[in-house]
Amino acid sequence: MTQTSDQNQALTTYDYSQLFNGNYKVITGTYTNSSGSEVDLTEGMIIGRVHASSLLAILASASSDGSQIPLGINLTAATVANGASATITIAVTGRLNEDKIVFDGTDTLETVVDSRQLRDRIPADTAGIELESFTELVNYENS
Amino acid sequence: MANIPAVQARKFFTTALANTFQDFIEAPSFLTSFAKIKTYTTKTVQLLARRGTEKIAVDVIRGSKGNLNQMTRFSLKEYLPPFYKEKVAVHGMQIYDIPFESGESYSSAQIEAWAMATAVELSESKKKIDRAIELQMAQLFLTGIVEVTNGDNIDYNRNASMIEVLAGADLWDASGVDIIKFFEDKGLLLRSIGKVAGGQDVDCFMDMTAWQSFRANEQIKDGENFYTKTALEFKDSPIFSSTGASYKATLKVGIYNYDIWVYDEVYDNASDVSTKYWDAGYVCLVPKSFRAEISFCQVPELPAWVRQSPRSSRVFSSLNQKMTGFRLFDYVNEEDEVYNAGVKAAPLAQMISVDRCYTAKVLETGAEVG
Repeated sequence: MTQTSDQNQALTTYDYSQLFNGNYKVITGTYTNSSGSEVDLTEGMIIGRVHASSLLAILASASSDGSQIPLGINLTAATVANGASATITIAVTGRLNEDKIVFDGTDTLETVVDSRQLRDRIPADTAGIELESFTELVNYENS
Repeated sequence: MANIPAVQARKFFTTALANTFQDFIEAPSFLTSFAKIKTYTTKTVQLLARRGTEKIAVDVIRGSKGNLNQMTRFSLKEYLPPFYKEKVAVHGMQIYDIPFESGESYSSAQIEAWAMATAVELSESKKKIDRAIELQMAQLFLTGIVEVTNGDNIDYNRNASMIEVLAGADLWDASGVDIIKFFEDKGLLLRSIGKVAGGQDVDCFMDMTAWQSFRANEQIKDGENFYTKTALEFKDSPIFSSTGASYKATLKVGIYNYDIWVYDEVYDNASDVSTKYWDAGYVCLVPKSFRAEISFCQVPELPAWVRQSPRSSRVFSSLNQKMTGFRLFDYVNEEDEVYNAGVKAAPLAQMISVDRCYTAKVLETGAEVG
């Protein structure tokens, strides 16, 4: 939802599109922020797992600690301070609206990780996430 | 007892008031007639908008899951209309000053005349607001921005492609200009941006200067693409029964039929300068599927038990005015010997289908031509 307003008029836009088309299976895990600054976790972020610690981490294709492999999609919106931990819920199965995926940094669905695009890794590496493309039939009013 | 001056008394016997003339000028309603009129019991009014697309299905492989569609976006707009409050001093009306009356009591004829004078002044006050509404509609068609003096302007954010300033060889008074092509091309804009289905009738109104260039054009003069509608063909169109514009003919070119109107109404601005509602040299194309509304919202009001107090109101508090766009009011201040009556309203020309109209400045200057 975005909102603009002044004395005589206000405009609010709504987007009720869903992250998943139907139900999905979830798991929980611990995310620890060791980035050096505050991190905003948002719904739709792709999450991987650090092999050595079993902690959850935001997928980063350039990593080599395991977090470059997709595990699931984040469902928990939270702000995590540097050095702090949070328990987050991620979806590991379901029909995912690919337009709602939120990447960190410059990664895209076309980014290659170990000779395979993330578009192909997400269905293959997760427990069962299927990417679906939605066609939006309506638009917002002029703003 | 006061004496009546001899000069005044002599006039009574030596001259007669033969006739009276007073202008009661109607407020134009042509532009307002493009909108529905609705009254709300709230201070603000909202509009839920969802713009359409024209996507087309593509065949899929048999056995596949098919294409997934969704309609999940919309915009919610909220508007606070400008507020108008016009009042008259009933206590100051000249009906008090009829000579040869004692002042101790008033005859029924005097009271009737007083009431009539109040009604006339209130009616003229209401016309001021009617004209403000007509001007709001003009601003809506001209720029899409309703100008508010005390508050922020209300901007409907019309698509920039739907408001154009023509130049050079495209101007309607340029040598050899193809005005027919203007209607064909701008019709395509209404189709692509305004999403107006082809084959509709489109109202086209212009001021006098644009009309003079239009009728002087060689292609227009041959009359080949014109026909004239009868009153029956307009059916119950509020536009046809409105005041202020004159229907000329219907132009059949391109994907629409254009009903040509000339509208050159004026109002007196705050400096008493006669001003056009619709700017000189401008043309507007408005398809029948255009949607607008004059939304009357509620106005500041005292609770009924206060209004019905004998000292606060004499007449209008007893009227049931809950769902009227124009609210009549009156009040008495006995200490100051003031009795005021007035009319107040909070109307807004609300553009519902924002891009379903096209505006063009077709002349470089607004000077009269031809």
